[in-house]
Amino acid sequence: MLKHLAGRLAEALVALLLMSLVIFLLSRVIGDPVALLLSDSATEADRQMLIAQLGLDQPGWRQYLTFLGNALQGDFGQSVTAGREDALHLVLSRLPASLSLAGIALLFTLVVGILLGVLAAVTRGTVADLAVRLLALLGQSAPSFWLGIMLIYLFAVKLGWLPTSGLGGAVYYVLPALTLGLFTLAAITRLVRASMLEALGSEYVKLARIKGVSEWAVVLRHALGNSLIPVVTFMGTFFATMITGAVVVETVFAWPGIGRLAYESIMARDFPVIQTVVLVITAFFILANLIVDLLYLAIDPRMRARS
Amino acid sequence: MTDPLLSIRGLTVRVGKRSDAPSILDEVSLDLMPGETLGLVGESGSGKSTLGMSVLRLTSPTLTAGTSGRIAWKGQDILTMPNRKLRHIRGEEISMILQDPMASLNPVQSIGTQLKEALRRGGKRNLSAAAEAALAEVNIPSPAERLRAFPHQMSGGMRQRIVSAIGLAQDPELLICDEPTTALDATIQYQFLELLKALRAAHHMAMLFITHDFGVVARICDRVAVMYAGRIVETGPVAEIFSRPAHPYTKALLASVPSTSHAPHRLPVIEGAPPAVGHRPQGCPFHPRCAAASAHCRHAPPRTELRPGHTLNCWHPQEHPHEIA
Amino acid sequence: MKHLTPRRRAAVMGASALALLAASPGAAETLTVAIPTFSEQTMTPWAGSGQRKTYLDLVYDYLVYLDADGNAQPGLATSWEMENEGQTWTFHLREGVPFSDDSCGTVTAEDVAYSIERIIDEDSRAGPASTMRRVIDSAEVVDEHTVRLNLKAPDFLLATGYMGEAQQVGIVCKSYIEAQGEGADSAMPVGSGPYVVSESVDGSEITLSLRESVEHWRVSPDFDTISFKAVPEEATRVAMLQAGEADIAPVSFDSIPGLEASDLRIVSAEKTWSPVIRLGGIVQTDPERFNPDNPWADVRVRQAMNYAVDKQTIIDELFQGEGTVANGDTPIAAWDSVEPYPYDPERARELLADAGYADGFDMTLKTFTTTPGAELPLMAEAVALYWADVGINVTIEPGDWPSIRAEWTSGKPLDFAMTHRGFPFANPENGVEAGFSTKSLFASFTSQELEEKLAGLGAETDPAKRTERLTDIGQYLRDEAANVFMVLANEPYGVGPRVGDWGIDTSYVYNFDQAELAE
Repeated sequence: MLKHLAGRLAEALVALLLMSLVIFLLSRVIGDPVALLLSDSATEADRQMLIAQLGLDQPGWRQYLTFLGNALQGDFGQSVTAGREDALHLVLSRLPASLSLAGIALLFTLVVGILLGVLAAVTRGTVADLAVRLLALLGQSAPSFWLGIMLIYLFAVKLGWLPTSGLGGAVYYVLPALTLGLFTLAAITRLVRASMLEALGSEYVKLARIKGVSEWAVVLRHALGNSLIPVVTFMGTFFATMITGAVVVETVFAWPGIGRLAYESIMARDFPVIQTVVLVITAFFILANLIVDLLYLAIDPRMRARS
Repeated sequence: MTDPLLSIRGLTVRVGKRSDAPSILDEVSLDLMPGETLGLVGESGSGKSTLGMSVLRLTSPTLTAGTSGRIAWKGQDILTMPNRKLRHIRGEEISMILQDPMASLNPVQSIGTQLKEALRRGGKRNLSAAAEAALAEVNIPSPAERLRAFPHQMSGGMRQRIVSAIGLAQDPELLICDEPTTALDATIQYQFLELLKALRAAHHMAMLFITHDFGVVARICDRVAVMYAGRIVETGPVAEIFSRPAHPYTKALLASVPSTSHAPHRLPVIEGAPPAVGHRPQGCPFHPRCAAASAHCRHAPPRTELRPGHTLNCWHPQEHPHEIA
Repeated sequence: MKHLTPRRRAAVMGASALALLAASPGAAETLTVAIPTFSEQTMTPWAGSGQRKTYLDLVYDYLVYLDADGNAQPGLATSWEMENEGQTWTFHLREGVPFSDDSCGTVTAEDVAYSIERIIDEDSRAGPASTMRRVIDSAEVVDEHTVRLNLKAPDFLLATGYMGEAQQVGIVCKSYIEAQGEGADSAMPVGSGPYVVSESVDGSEITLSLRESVEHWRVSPDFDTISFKAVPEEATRVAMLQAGEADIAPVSFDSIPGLEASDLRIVSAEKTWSPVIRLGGIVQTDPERFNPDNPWADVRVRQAMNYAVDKQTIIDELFQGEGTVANGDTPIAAWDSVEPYPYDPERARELLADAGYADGFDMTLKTFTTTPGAELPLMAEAVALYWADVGINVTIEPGDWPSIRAEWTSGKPLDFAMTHRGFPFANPENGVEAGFSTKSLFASFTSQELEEKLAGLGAETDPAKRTERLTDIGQYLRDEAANVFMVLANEPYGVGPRVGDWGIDTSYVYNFDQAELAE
């Protein structure tokens, strides 16, 4: 077990290192921030001065090594735009907003998605099943930008039940979490429904029924446990959906999170911030997958035997 | 004369509610007496597993909806019984061992959890001790240790014995065995049948033993019912059916199996394949493949009682008295 | 009907005491303003772009203010003189204006000189920093309330230009900044303006509170608190207005009918931006950046491209009528007499035929969106349709502004055209310089003749003659069809029912401290 974890940790470090190189190269491909930072009436001399100030006159490999060396000491450089704010500090200050939103969205998604999936499977072929499947189809096909605007219009403007946007108390989480989670919710619902149907048709569920176990216990104790294995397997993917979804959702809901920061820093060609954002996201991604691995071990004894 | 434990009359199972939906079982009737072991023999697709499942109302919702007739358990109709009552019959009075020992245990629960769930329903107090005893009864070595193990850590034979232990946990009066030995290799098969016999004796159970293997029937059954295309074509005591099979299908089936006792008595293998559900012919379903078939056979065959307890549905019963041993 | 006459400024300027009496004490009122971005969300004038003026203008005062017609009004400087043919300026400061931090005392010449020196520093990121550096040599303290600026080159409009409220030289407290050291940019700012920043949540909200203990020399705001929210998505800003969560928010032209249907007002800042199509590769004075192969290297083709587009229809359809047909690339008062190109496709075809393009030609038009400027891609589509009518076959390439700008300023002989939102320079000469002088990296059109005209403008000391020269340049740019001039567009704001009188006169001057509470 410890050996397994150590192995995963080593993999994570290699992944981070590779990611740092990839993102360094990619961010250089999209062009440098100099043209953006220069005023409309800037001259060639102004440009040269700025290039030197930003350290962009150095050869690429040296810029990368400098970045890597500093990063290993916890210094991710300063934003080129935002008054030279420390990039890591900037990213970390935006992280809680994103994490809390993603966490709530994920929780909501899991609870509701599993409930709906189970409901649809148990009531297979009935109107309830049809309604859930329709909802799941909608959830997976509605673009989150459109969905977000529609939810704002309905619940904030027309009904006045919820705030339109911004970061605040619990009510401020409802619409963004719904928007962020709906795609995943639909995916989980479909996944749980399918694996639940498979489980309900399985021999071990038959055996449980032969024992005279009540239908509730059959569903909850026997079928559900097995149906959750694919959900856990896909959790890593869901996390990625949350990150990409965050860019849109945080923009629509004026949510000061890491997704919007990533988008804004890319638009501003703010290399240090782009690099830091991507590395922090990568680190979280690795962490999330590690948690998925552990969860997997916890719920599937067959995996315990293998690792 | 005692009343039958289980009495099935006119059981028809269709794929769906409509009266013209294709049927899997057609007007099946049989009786099972207390303590008796009835073998249900047929090729795959003959409907024998569906019959076994129907007794516990465990067929899929589509089939349940298309089920008609009567399954009387100690005089009460299982098909119309409320769920609550049925749950008390399941496990406590009628239990079942499924065909695939690999699939019939829950892969994410320990053996102990699954066994104790049944024991708890059976009203046992000291669950751990009862579980160990139940495992010991089916000859599982070091049962205390095994209780903590998971299904994937065990061999097929061991799993099937655990499934039996679960099936017997609530002391049922009838154990339905749906091809319990099919997935096991030959030596394990033999051991397992011996175990079942011992358990049958210890628990004073009746058994409904579903198989395609006459060898197994010979070893464990008192009576046998031969099924073909959703119908029972011949019923009788095991010895009589083996020595004097009267239905052409029974004869062909016996002939195609390597004999376990007497000298092999080979007939040509039956031509063709059993008809698929929904494509069953009028009259006797076997007539398209039957060497003895005549024009009569397109009509429903009469039920004939050759001797007490030996009945068959056939226009042309095949009697070979000289074969009596 | 939409633009409110800026009477308030005169009222406050002339009789601040009276205005103070009129102020409503009452309950604490908050004005909520939703804006697309806080830009850098830094708090010193030199640490970022002019987009931060939305909130920083409430914190800092400027030396000179402007009335609705762009005429100078006293600010922190009550009077000023220009000497030495525009190369020396002396500002006399208002006395007894307190900073928001007690330790800073009142505004002195030290603070003003420091603020100016700091914004032209090499590491300044203020928008006008580089042009200011080319003009201003030093700022010296003459006495406690007198500052002298020594220039490297004449600047006859320094007071209303760089030192004006539309630019970025907000006056900071020198001792406070020095005490803060490196952290000054993110610390709570100290200025002499009517409000102080009470909270700044990164990327989310900036809250300003009225300095109640102080009677401000310039304004007496109705709102005790002004809360700015960063809301990048326009549809969300519209929803906030409709839900009553925001009182003021910039909106797109598309949203105007919907907002008016919800009984919200539209207040437009008139002619604050100018959608234009800039043609690449015609920096004729720089061989590196001149591409003679472009069909539009010929003036007749450029004129034809102007004649071929029905700009009024585009304004009516895409801009909801909120704009006028452009006679130049930037709204400049001195160009009012310059006639825009009329819609005349026949003339366009003739000119193209004369230039040898009777069968038209193929070209690429790059486009992007900005705020304001959500309409640019649609405008590109519309223009392409009109041009197709005279044989010019346009391929539209949507992109993002950073990439297109980098390409535009790369110093290469460009072979494409791009949509652009125009220059929001408060000083018209800056806009002309940025767009049409060889030394500007961004220049879209230059010629030897124009260089001479620009030099003449720079050397002219007489204000009336300067205006004449500027008008002449405007006429020249128009006749040369330096760009495809499109629209002098308004910038619409949705305004909620809690706000009474409020209006914007010029770009980068938002007057949120003058928004009145509705009765």
